[in-house]
Amino acid sequence: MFITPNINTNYDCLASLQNNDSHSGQLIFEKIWHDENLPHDHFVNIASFKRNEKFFETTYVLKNEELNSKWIALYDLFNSSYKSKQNLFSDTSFDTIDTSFRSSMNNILKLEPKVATVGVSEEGCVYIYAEFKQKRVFFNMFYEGEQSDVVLNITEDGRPICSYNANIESSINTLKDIIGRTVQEVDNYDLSRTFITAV
Amino acid sequence: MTYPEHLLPQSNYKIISSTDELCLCTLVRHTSSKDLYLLGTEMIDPDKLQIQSNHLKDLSTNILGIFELNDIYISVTNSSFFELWSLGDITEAPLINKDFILNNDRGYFLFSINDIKNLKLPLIQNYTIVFDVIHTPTKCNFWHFSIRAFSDNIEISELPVSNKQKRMIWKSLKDFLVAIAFTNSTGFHILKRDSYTQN
Repeated sequence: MFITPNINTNYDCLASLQNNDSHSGQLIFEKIWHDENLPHDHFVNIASFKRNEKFFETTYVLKNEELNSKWIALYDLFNSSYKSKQNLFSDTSFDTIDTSFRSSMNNILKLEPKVATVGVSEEGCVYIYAEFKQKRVFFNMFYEGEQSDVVLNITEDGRPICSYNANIESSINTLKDIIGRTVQEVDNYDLSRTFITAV
Repeated sequence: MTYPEHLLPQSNYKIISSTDELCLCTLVRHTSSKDLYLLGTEMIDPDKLQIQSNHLKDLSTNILGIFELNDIYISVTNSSFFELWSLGDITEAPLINKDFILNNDRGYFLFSINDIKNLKLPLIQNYTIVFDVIHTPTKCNFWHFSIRAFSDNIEISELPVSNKQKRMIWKSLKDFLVAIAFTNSTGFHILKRDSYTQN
């Protein structure tokens, strides 16, 4: 069964957004359909596109059509926020910022936050804000030249539980770790000195 | 309209000390607009804190009680009135349209002083940081208080770290502060008169 994507954007952008990598280019073909082997609210997305005379194909399982819309909305917000405060990133290329944002956003959305938004702070960082039950997360990406690193700040019911500074991959892993843990487990987290171990 | 007399320092006033009673009080911070939240969330945008990050750091607030919520709409435009008040100083009232205007576009959020003073922060960039709330009356507003951050009694701006690390620290502090900010309250503790007047 074919489903028309319920999004109002160009496919080039969509193909780019749905990739972990910075693949982008001219979209040649795309389809989204329900595979009966998957749960009823999951969809398969295949996109083929061409860049630099090479062809790429991506296959994704989307939980539902909303994921597409969410991606596009968040990316648009990131883009407009970046453009309005571009002067804060004078020594970093947009490609570096864009790639780190898409990689981080991809991973964070996979954790299924109940709320997510993005922006650019006056401290010169791109941030992703997400809520997971009682936990509220600021995933702040700072740049120096083409290097990026993350300050991950998490609170639970207003109580700070983490301020973790590392690269994107490590920060995502830490986030996954914390989101998957109970309050008690987070309090006893002993792998990072940045955690409060007692309340 | 005349400037509200209850905001002006009086000759028999004294600096308000940090006491248990002070911790019962509430601080109000005005914002330039009533739009306080990160898009699509109920989290106050950390950039609404507007802490300057390139010189002495200070989040300007007012203690509620004698200072009323409606007083946030008074926007003093003559910077000479921002000078700190000293004990015994007698000041003149600002004049409408010359020294102050009414700005009804402003919004606000609130902090419990107790919450700020008891906020346990994780290590941030390897520093143990605490917030303090300090009475900093100005010539036109006796009820002005400052929220400042220190590590071992050193203000963040003076820490021997790179500018990037300072920006990371400030972003973290703002992320944690907005998590304890609120916008609704049923009532405020009013400081006893002997807390701010000389015998």
